[in-house]
Amino acid sequence: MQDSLEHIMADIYALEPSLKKDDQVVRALVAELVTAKPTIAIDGVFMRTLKQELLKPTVRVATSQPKIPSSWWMFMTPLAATAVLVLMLIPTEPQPAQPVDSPTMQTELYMEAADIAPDMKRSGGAPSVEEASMMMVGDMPMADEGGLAQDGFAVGMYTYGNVAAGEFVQLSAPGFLVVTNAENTAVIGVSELLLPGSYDVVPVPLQLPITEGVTYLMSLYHDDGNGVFSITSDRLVFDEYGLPLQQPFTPNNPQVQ
Amino acid sequence: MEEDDSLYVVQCQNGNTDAFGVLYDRYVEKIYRFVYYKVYSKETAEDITSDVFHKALQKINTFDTFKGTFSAWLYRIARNSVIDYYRKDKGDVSIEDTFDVGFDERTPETLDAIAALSKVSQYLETLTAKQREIIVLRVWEELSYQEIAAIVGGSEDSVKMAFSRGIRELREKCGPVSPLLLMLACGQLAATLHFHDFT
Repeated sequence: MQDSLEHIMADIYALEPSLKKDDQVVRALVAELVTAKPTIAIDGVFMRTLKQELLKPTVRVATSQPKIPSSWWMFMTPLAATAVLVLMLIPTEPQPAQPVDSPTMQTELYMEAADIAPDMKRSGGAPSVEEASMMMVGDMPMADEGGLAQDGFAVGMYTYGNVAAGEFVQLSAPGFLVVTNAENTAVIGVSELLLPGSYDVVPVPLQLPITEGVTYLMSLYHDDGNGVFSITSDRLVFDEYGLPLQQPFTPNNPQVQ
Repeated sequence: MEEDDSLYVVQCQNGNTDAFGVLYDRYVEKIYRFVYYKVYSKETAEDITSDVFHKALQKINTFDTFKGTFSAWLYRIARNSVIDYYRKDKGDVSIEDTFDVGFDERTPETLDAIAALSKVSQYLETLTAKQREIIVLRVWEELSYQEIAAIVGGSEDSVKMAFSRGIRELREKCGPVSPLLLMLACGQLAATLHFHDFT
C-alpha cells in the first residue's frame, strides 16, 4: 500500500506542484482514501454459477461431418439393399439413373450465450446507451468500445525541414492542426483541412522558420465551415474536462534549410 | 507471466468458449468491484456483473484487438450497464439530477465527525462525477491513467489533470479542517460514497 501511496503522491505533485506546501494534509487525504477502500468479497457461488452459464454448450450445432445414421436406418438399410438386388435381377426396361441427393454439407457452429438472467429486465425499443456504444466503429472517428478519444492528437517526435508533425490525430468534425508560438499569437503552420477521422501522422507545413530550443504550441481546431483556417473564427477544440487540446513542444533538432 | 488478453479474445472469436472462461476468471472480481463501488448493493452488483459478461460474450466478435484493450472494453461495458440500470430505475432524468452522494448518518462515531462528514460531502458534491470516478479508479482500483482514459474517455493527460484537480479541490474546499477530522470524515465517506456517473 505504501508503494501505491507514494506513486499517487508523486503523480499529484508532478501535476500540481503547488500542493506540496500542504503535503501533510494532502498525504493524509490520499492515504485515507487508499485505506478506506471497501473490502468487497464476491460471492463464490455467484461467480461459479455465472461462469457455468456463460460457458454452457451451444444448443444448436450443425457440423460438416457426415451424420451418423439412426438405428432405424441401420435396420432398414439391409432390407432395402436386398429389395434393390431383387429388383435388379428381375428383367426390366432400363431405367434412367436417378440423381441421388447428397446430404447437405454445412458447417455451422454456433456459440450462443445462455439467456440473460431471468431477473434482469431486458431493454426494449431503442437501443440502450450500452448497445449504441458497443457498435463497432467502421469509418467513424470514435471507437467508443476501444476507448479512443473523440478529438485528440500527440505532437510528433521530430520536425523535419519546414514541417512539424502531429500523430494519432482524431477529429470528430473537420478541422486543422495548427502550430503557433507559445503565446498562441502568431500562426506558424497549418495543416490541410482534415476530415473527421483518425490519422496516424498529420504534417503541418511551417510558414516561418522555427528555432531549436524554443517552445511552440500545437493545437487542434474545428473548421467554421468555410474550409479555410482562421484563428479568429475557427474553434479551438476542448476535451471533456474543459481543457484545450493544445500541447507545447520544443524542437530538439534544428530546422533544415 | 500471464498471456495477453488479446490471445484469448481471438481464440474466443474463433469459437473457443474456454478462452472466454480465462478472461472471465481474470476480470470477474475487478468488474464486480467496479460495479459495486457505484451501486453499493450486492444483489444489484451481481445482476449487473452478470449482464456485463453476457453482453461481452455476445459481442465478442465485434471487439477489435487493434482498437483498444479488452480490459478497457469490458470496463466500458460495465460502466454503460450501470448507466442503463439507473436510467431504467429512475426513468428519464437529467444527468445532473441523478447525482447522489449519500452517507449513513449512523456510522460516524462522533458528532464532530458527523459535522465534518456533512461538510466534506458538500465539497465532494462540487466535484464532477467523472472526477470522483477517476479518483476511485486510480486510488482503489489502481488502474493506470492510460487505462482510466480508455474507460472514461478523454486523453491520458486530461485524466491526470482531472485527478490532480479533484485532489486539489478536495483539499481547498475542506477548508481549515484538522487532518484528524479530515481522515475520519474521508474514511467514513469513502465507505458510503455512491459514485454515479451518467456521462
